[in-house]
Amino acid sequence: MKSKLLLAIVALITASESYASTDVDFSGMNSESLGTLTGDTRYTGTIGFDTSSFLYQADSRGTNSTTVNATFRGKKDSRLLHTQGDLSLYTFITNKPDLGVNPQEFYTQTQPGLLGNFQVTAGRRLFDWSKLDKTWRMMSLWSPRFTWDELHPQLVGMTGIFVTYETPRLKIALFGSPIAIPEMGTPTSEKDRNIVSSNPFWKPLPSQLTVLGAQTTIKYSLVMPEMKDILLRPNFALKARYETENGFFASLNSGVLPVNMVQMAAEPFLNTQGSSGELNVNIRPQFPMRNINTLELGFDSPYKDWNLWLSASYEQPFQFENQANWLNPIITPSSIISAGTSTQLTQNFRFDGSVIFIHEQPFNRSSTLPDVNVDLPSRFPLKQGIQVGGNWRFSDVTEGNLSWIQDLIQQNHLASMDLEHYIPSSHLTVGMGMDLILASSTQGWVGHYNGDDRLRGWLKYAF
Amino acid sequence: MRFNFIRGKMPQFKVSVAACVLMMSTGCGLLGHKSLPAPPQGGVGNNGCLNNSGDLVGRYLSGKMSQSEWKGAFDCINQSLGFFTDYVRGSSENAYSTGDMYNLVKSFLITNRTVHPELMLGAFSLKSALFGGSDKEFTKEEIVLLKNSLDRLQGITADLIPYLNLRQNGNPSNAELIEMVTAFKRAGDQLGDFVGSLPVGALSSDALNSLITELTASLNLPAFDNLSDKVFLAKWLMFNSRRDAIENQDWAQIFRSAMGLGGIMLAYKTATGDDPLSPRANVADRIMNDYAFRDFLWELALQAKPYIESSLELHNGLTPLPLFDHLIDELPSSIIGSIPPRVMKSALRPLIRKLMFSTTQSGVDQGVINTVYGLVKEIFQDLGQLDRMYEKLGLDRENLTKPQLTQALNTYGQSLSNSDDVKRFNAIKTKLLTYEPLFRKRPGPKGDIYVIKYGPGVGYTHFQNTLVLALDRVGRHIQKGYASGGSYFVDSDLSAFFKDYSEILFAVKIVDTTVPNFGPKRLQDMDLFTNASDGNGQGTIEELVNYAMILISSGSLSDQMRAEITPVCDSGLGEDIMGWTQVSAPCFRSQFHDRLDYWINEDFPRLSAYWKTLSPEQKKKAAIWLEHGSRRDGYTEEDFGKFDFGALAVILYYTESLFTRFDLDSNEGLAKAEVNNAYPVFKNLIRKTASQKGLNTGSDYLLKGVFSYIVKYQEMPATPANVANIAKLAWWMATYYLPTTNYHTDRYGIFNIVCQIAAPENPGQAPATTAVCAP
Repeated sequence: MKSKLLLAIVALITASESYASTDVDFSGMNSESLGTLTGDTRYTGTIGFDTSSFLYQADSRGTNSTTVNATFRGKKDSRLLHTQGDLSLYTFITNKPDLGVNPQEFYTQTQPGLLGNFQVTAGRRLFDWSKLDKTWRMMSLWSPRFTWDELHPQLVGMTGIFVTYETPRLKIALFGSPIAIPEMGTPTSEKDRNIVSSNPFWKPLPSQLTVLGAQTTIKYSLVMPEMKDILLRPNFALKARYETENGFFASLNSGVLPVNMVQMAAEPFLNTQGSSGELNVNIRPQFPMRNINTLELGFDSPYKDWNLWLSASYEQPFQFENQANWLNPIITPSSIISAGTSTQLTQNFRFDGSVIFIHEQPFNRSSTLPDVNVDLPSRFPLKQGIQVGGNWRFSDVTEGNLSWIQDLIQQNHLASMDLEHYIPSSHLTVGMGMDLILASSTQGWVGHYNGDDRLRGWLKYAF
Repeated sequence: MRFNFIRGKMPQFKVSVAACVLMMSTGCGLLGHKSLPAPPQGGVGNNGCLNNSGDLVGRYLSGKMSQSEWKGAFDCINQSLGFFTDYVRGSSENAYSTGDMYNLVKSFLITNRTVHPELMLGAFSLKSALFGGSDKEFTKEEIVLLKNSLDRLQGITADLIPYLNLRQNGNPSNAELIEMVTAFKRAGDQLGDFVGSLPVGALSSDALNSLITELTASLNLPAFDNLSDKVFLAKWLMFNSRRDAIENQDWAQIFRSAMGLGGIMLAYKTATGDDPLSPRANVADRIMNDYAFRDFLWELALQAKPYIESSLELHNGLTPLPLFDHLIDELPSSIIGSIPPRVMKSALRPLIRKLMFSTTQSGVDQGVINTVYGLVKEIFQDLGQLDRMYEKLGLDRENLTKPQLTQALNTYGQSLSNSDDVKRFNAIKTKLLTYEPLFRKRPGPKGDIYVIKYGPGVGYTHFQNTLVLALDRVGRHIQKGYASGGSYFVDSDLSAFFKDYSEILFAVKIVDTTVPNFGPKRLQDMDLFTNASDGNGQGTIEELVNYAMILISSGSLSDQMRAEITPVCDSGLGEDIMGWTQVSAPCFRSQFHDRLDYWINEDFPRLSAYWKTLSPEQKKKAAIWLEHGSRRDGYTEEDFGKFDFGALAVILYYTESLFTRFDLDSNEGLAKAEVNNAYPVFKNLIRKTASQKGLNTGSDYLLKGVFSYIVKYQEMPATPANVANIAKLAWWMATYYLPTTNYHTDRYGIFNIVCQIAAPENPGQAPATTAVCAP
């Protein structure tokens, strides 16, 4: 029997993938003007707002949600070092004004050639770990994400020391860090013994449950591990990529890394001390580690007009607490297979397509909770999925993106479309988009957002 | 940074902002609420297992439970216990206090009733007694022990399901039910062994009482006053252990005995049917007619015997009477009915000593057990041989002539090879043929009944033969305790018997204790009015059995009279002390006269024919004589109650029995020779009556003269004692013995004689008797 407690788990797990601003690739677009230059120091930034207008009403949110965001970027080059960083701030103006802070990258690295083929980077850096990571961003397999917008999460860098060795054919990167920073998004907090978030995608946890035959109010508590236990998780990774002259490549990644997505366990209990007939649930965020190995093979056209790749990963999670009297998230060794292509079909349209298949080893449900035979959700948003989409570049200042994701297990669909126009004369970027969820259930990652169909619009000013 | 972006760019900016504002308001929930699939339903902590626990047990016991369902029920409970230990937090990490449990129960388990903290105190005491540990807390280890115990209990009780299911499979055979008893015994032994392996402790009666009281109140169960006291008293009786606590050594015994005896009771209940209204009649009928059923009951009794003897052993060979007194004090009214405990206790002593032959005379001992089992065994074996004869020879159960019965007895007797069987059967043969065929089956107000018929065409019935054998055994058994003469009762014996039991017989409305000299009168009746009566002042077995048959038959007539007269005559006079509605004398007489014709039509054919020849005046007079001879105060205007109904019914049997016995030529009259034949029977009565009148004589001549005088003149001699009457008596004495002197009487005369000799003994009634019985 599926318990309402399942909803709590689902909500909490998905809540960890919260909201991020629309992440349109502006590379090549003059979306930001240069800031004041002082020698080799450059500052740029944007300020604007994103708004979501939901097509359906819901008790858990309003019909509009608007975020003001500001992003500051800076670069500084010296003879020896290159330093760059950014900081994005987000806050709602229609919801509770939570603050989201996202430094996507902030690092210093040695200038190319300074150390021969080696380069050393210190700080938070978004590294190109795998094709799969970039294609299936909701998976958070290698790079962590910033999830202010849960439907369109943004990849962010890992924090540590990077040492790279690069030749025309061979590229090796070594990463190590004594700390692991969990993924962040819209803050989730405990209020009045309930778990709340201003995220419009937040699904309130069940407030009542039948316990021992009695309709019982549920009271939640967020039980966070100590900060040192969250942060002090040494991790490292290695990537070696070899590519041939004619475009074939193979890369092998291996690492001991944190599971980027925060996993949530629920510890329900009845407290007989002064009992007033409430079910207490301790929400216990889990921060597991994992061994992960990824092998990718593929072909990148020398002309960069198409590619084809195959990715296979195997990860073994460890260092998590899994108690019999908790509702535990499914954390089992998993295999991830994916393949994809990106093809420049026309001069201004590029097609992207990919499939993914994930096999999680069976979860031996250790919970002794009777009557809660919960088919717990996977920690992977999609276990089998297909994604197709593309990018239209209508002009130098106007482009559009389209993606369609199908959850093959739940047979749910997410269709997203963006259209953005840059107005150079006023340094304004205006965009609009929509997310349509075609779902027959509330199960799975797509299904979780069933009813959250929305139109989106955004306006940014670059300075 | 440049902040002059607005300057000169207003149109574009405005367009952009307008687009965004438009976008913000475009969706706005315009599609309304989306109809989403219903969220998963369910709950945690199985609530179904205990809610219907009463129904589960009921269905289990009634055989409606499958193995898988029973296991599922236990699994459910175990899961709930698992839920409890895993998800319920008490005041300490590894244990729950009574307060913890109280909070849990009142908040989750029993929310629609007031739960008192005392419920937890009792429950914890029980826990402590069964699983050890403190009675202040329930540790998680003890809950694990409880779960293991439930697993074991499930395993043991599941083995009984095939046997319990027999209850639903139509009509289980006796052999199958005995197998069920054996299975229960085996389960009881297993449970006893298992409980014996637990760290059991003592449980006080106060704790159990509190638990039961609170549990019944909280769960809205039927409450029993002092149930705990009753349970502990039964335990005391069974195991000779403390009355205020269950001690360590009691637990295993309790489970063994409860399961063993429970299986026996269940088998009995299954065999006799579940209808609470019919079992008694059903059981009695089957005991009378079905030897297989009797064998089954006997097997049940044998199965119960070890438990009884074990109990006796625990009492060092004697369960004393005072202990039974306590038990009687605690018996619910549903068991003892209207019998006051004092009366029951009073009757228990002579029952144990004189009828069950307690060796120690102080209570139940091996002598009592041997007596009861011995008597039942003898009766069942007698009846068993009788039934097997009927079955083997295919005999007519309702009508066998004496030659037919004799031949059957001979045939069957010759087929027996075992010497004990032969010896027993020869005794049976003698007993059966001792009695004339009396009973026949005919429709009664509530179905077929067996009543005596004084007329032709009556043969031996299976009913009579069974009754004879049973009464013979019971009668002889009572003789052992009460008959001073060994093989016969005398006045004082029956006086003693009724002195011992009259109160309890009165409590169950069988004997009216207001009747003076009840015992001697019964002896006189059986000594005078049955086929075997010899008037010698001794009640033999033959007289007793014949008398019992008359009482059974007259009881049926009495019931019929009551059923027909009372509704007509009930004028609100209330009930008599025997619980019968009283009716006025005039109304009773009117109805009696109207209905007597058809009451006697079938069962008293000769009397019926004779009655029709009487004039209305004679009928009226005869009825008055019968009434005077039967009622305790004679013919009076006192209201009629149970005694009066019964007396009038039985006196019809007395007179008819007497008349058909001595009217050898069936001419509806007693000639001189026939009267002389009757004289020995009434000799002692005449002597006794004469003695009361001051004539003490043992002379046959005188006594026979008096008897023949009464027959001749239908009056008591010398009453009143005037010169004329004395002269009349003297003349008769001088002449009655002459061959030429003749005398005889008819039925009418017999009625008069009854009026004379059965009149109230109170001397003050003599004038009334003279007047009422005057021809």
